[in-house]
Amino acid sequence: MTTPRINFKEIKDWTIDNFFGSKLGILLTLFSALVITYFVLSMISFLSSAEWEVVTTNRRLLLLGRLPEEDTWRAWPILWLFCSIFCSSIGAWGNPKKRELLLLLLAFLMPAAIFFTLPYIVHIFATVLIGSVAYISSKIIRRTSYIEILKKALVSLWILIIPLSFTILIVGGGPQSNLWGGFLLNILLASVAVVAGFPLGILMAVGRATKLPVIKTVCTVYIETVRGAPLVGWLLLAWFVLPKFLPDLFGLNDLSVVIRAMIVLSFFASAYIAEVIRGGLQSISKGQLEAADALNLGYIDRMRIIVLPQAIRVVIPAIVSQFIGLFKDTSLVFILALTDLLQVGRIIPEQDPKFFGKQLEALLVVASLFWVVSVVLSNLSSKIEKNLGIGTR
Amino acid sequence: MKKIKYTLLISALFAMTAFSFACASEDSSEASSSGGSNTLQQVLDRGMLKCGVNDNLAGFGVVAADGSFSGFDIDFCKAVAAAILGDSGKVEYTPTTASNRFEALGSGEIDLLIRNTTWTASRDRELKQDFTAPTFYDGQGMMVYVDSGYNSIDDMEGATICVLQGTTTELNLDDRFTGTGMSYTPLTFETNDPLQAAFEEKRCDGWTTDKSGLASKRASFPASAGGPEALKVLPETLSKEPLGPLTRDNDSEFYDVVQWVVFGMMQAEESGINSSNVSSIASNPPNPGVARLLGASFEGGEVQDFSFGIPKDFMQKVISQVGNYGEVYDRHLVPLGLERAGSLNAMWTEGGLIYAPPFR
Repeated sequence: MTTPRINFKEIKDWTIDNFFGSKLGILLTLFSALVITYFVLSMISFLSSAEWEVVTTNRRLLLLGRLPEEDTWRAWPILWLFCSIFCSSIGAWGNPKKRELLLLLLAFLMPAAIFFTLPYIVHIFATVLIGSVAYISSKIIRRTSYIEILKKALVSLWILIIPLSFTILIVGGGPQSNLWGGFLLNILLASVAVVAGFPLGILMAVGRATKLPVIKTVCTVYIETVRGAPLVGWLLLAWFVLPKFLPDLFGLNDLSVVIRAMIVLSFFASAYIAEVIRGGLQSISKGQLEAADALNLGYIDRMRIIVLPQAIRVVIPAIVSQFIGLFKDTSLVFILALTDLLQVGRIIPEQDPKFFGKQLEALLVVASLFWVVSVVLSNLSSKIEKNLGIGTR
Repeated sequence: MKKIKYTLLISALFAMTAFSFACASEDSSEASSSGGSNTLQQVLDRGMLKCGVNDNLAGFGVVAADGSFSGFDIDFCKAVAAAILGDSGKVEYTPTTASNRFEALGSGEIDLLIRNTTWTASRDRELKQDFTAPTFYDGQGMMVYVDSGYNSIDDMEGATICVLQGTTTELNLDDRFTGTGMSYTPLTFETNDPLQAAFEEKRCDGWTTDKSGLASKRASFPASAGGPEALKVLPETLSKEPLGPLTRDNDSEFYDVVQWVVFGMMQAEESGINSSNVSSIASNPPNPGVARLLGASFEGGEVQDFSFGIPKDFMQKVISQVGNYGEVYDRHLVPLGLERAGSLNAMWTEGGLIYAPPFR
């Protein structure tokens, strides 16, 4: 194998062709260079003058909100649980390249670097250890016949992780739920909304696509009503009006605002997901339905075995896009007096006169945390798409 | 056949849901129609005061790194909790926004709203909520550069003024200038940060907002732009902004408690009672007035009862746990550069407006 020699002439030709090929090209190149230089310079000047104390003193507020100090430990088992399920899922299904693993690690390391403190070095080390053990062990199981059992276990764990997290937060006299906050709250709310909203969305989509007039009308009215008002409106409704409508049973009308936010977000997510899935349903060709009839499948079996798997597969990119949107929508719960990540980012510069004017630092960290989750989600979706061969068939 | 079965099943389900909703709404309408509100009793039963506050205003209400609330307004929540429940820590804080605060109080999500809210006639009339007593007299002011040569707003003919868009501040500014036949150019902004940037670049001659806000912006003015010394707040006040706690209408017992806790803190300052000397003064009050305020006995006499349905010595708890008005002010607002002497918030004996009706 010969090492390729750098051909300067080639580079020069390529540069001229691509950047200075025509008058317009020269103009565009100069203009973009100017814009890029401006942004890079202002970024450098910001980073050189940035003071991160506003973020470092408020680590816990950003991650956990107003969760009392004595309850901070509850966050770690949740993280470990999530980490082990996440990593073993990658091991069981994924074929990550080294580059992708590195990227993932980098995405997680960025916020970790900001929030790293010495007293928690053991906890962080444990997180890394749990993740690697989970990944490697499921890789090993993958070579055996137990992999199908593991996959089923993982799917049920993904659904169980939410009640488990709640249990960890509540067990042994945990803090009031309106003290849950920060990044933890955004993730909890988004997970609940996804897990509850997705099946409800499927039901609504199927309902709207049926020929039964009652079900069709009900589903259509539901979807159009929920989609017809802004999320902010629904949240305000949940705060001020919902308690008046709920029956006075089991303390229902004294429901914590976190639960109310979860209900609203789940309903809201389901309406949008329903429409996305309906789009998928319409893409199923008539031949598939006729084939199902030929097999003498009933309505439910036809949907379950033939139509839905194909329909959902087609709309995975759109669904993940909904999830990412939903995740960021959870920052609207500040309307319900909850202190989510974005709200923390907004209030901490006011905390102390020495933090005045440090909004940019605080919001940059908030943005990077949202970004990490969104990027991981969208990467996952593209991996799933590739595995299912969407777009290639 | 199958289709009919499903339709029947679903309609049955719907009928059941509709029925349960009907029952539910009956229940709640009964519950809500039962008598007026008695927040004081609710707070006592609950053992916790629900206080609606600001979490985003330096000095008045902020969240500390450990998740606890602190600030001038927060201390009045603590004082009310100390008076009713004997413990200033028994407060559940609800961060409210400028747009949802009144609904939060009206719907019963909170018992008490202390969120730098200006007392106006229209609010008092339309909101079904009552203002108890002003705790802080704010007012719109004008900040200029010291080297600009402006000593009064009357000097600012033709000046460019930075102001937040769509606020009463913008309207007050217009009243002041056009009302006196002066011309000016408003430079409006959606948020404070770009406004401050414009002011630092001297794109405007004056910056107008509430004086409390101006003081904190001045105190934190970056050294690169000259620091606080480069700026001054003109003496005129463009508007009256008395801020204070609100309770719901027709809630007299609770209203009285909140009002007299505020007055009691002012009276305590006037009488020279503070958090460090309150217990010694209470055990041996120097005069009957102080004895009445603290619910203590004067020279073995009978204890007069100003309790409003709460323990007679409620002001002792308030002063020992939170402090008098001056202590609260000094703790939260002086660090922001809001000097008290000479302002409207000085004691009435020193030319200010802080005045408590007599405890008699």
